[in-house]
Amino acid sequence: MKSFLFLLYRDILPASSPGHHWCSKLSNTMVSLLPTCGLLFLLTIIAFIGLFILSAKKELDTQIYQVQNSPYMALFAEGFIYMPQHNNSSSSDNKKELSFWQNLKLKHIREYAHNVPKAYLNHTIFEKNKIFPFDWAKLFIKRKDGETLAYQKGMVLPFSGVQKDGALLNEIKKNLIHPFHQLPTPSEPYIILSEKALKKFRFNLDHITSDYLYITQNDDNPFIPFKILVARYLPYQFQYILSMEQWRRLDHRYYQKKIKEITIYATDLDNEQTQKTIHNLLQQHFPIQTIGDPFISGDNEALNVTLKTPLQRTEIIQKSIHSDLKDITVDLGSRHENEPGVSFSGAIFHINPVLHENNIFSEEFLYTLQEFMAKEQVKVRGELLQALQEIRKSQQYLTQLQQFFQIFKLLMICVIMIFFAMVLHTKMHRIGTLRMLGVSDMKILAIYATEAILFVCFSLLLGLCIYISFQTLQNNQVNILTWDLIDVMRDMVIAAEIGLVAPSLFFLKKFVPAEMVVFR
Amino acid sequence: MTEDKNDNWLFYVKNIKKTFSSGKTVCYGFQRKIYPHTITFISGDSGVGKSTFLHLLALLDKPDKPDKEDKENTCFNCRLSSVGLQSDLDYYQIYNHRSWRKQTAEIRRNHFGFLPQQGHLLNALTVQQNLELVYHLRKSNFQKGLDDEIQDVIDIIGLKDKLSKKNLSRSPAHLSGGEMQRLAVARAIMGSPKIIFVDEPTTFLNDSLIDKMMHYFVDKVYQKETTIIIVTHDYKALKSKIRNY
Repeated sequence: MKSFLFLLYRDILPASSPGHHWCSKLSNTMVSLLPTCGLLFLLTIIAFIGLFILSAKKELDTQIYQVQNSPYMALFAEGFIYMPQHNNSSSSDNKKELSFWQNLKLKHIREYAHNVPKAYLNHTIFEKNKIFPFDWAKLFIKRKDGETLAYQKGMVLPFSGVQKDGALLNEIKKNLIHPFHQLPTPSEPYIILSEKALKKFRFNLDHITSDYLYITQNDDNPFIPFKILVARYLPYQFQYILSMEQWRRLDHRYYQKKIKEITIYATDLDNEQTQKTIHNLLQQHFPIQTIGDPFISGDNEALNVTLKTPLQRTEIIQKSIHSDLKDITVDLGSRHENEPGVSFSGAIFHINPVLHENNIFSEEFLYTLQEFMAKEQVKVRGELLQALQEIRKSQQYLTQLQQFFQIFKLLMICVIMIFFAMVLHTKMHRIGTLRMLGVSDMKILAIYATEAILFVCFSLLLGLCIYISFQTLQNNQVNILTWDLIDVMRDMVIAAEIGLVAPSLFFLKKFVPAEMVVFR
Repeated sequence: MTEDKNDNWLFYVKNIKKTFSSGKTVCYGFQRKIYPHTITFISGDSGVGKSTFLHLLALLDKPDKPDKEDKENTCFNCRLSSVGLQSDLDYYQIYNHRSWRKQTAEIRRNHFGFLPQQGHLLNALTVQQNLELVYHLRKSNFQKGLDDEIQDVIDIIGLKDKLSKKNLSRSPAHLSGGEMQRLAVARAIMGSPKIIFVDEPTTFLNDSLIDKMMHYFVDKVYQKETTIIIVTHDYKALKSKIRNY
């Protein structure tokens, strides 16, 4: 052990080199330390790039996680598995049943997805589900400064099923008037529409300048017993709802786009007659089988979705669900005492993360899924595919990054090997002399293997310092976990071990001591 | 010549060959015995393979594996038992063994001393570390203190006055040519090896150092402490020095 440490020490730091002048001493020392410094430099570059890739990977992972677990993702999935109201089949394998989707495995759609690896065939496509009602919701909307803009109980309806040329749309269009600057009182019934919703209703938005449009109640038209709010700046509400950290990490372009697609219809219904009227109205203009897009906005407090009226549903579910985002809580169980039971409307499914992680959801597979849904006459919403494709893109980018790191690692192994082979060539005489004096080949290999580990540790530390300084200078957050660091270190150790030990092994196998000792 | 078990030889060489990577083959078409506690000179013209023969004896190189028909007529053995060490060593067997690298390294480390043609000092180590290395590698307990041993060896080769403490802690590259020669000799005799292999000492050692070295060798051989094998092209000059003692 003593001789090993002694030889290791002298291999890294050779004895002081000759030279009478300090300048020649310095240059000789630099030359003698060139192999050590060169290796350290190479490894530090690897560490630095590895840490950058790790950081990018971390960010992408977070984004993917957020997309997968955000309520919006859930919303998109909801449209996908929506179960129409007029479903009289009691068969357990009916495509419209909740259990069918819960138990849907890759092997069930194998005929559409030939490229799915066999190992994943028994995985369920969806991992978890949330049941959402189509009914009445209590809606909070607050402005960014915290002021409450609206507080309403209302009906939650989907946007996707709106008939563009329905009578209701015409009536709304007819009654569209000036931008309003005052909030309606909570007692006034009204509808909130997104900007996109208005577009779909064929309103011209060019002249809308304020945050909200206000359509007064048209007493002459019994079909429009409520006012309309156009929520143009819903993203700001979400900025407020989400914690700053969550907001910072969101891909704004993506989320704003998605949020604007969300439509909310909310009406305040004070009496049974109005309720019935609106219900009939909605039944008339919004085919019930397309309803099922709940959207719940809220402030930092828990948000109640209160169910009031039992619409025609096949199942009664009372369940408390907490959203993945801490700041939004959906409580389906908080009904008033006198309220009738909650009726089931649709479910929100989350894609099985195992399949995401293992890159099963390829572009091709998404279309396959779409094809499958179409064949089964299940409504597929474009948003679902779009969201999944977004994830897919991120995953592809991530895979590309990982592949880049793998290629980079291989490249670096080659560079280290070539560099070290050159360094070893200069050390051949030394190694030959050591072998002549009886140092075993194993000990020589052990010296270089240990050197590799020492160099990696040191260069990783150096790379980390440079990386942190770099990030701090750019005011970026340093987002690296210990385990990830260990992963980088493992990869680097492998690279360095191969790079250093392989050439040593080659030279030791190829040359006998007598041949090595004459190298100069 | 048949092998006599009572014959106390150290090396027995018969019809060995060595082929280099360049394709050149050197045939040692003779049979010779080298006896323990002697000084053996291997002499010949330049390029006949003297140093290679020394390398083969010193386990620094491998001889060619004999052909089937030559097997009976080929022999390359070393009886380490004749110098009070372990049992016989068949070079062909050891080289065919999987652990030959380990075995040969162990023998070289513990029992052999080398004085190569160009000294081959390790510049990455200090002067003192060059001398200590043998002991470090052997992991042996010193009969005397290591520093005393080093001082003795330095004294033998006449370096005591020339090597200051400062020089001992610096790289050998600092030393003059003559000092480096002496240091190489000192390293070869450090640890009292059982067999010392010397390659062409007359080409790189000066006369006075050769005198001192031969004096030391004769002394050690006389005391039956070591066996010396010297490759030289100037056999007469060295022999004349032995006669002087």
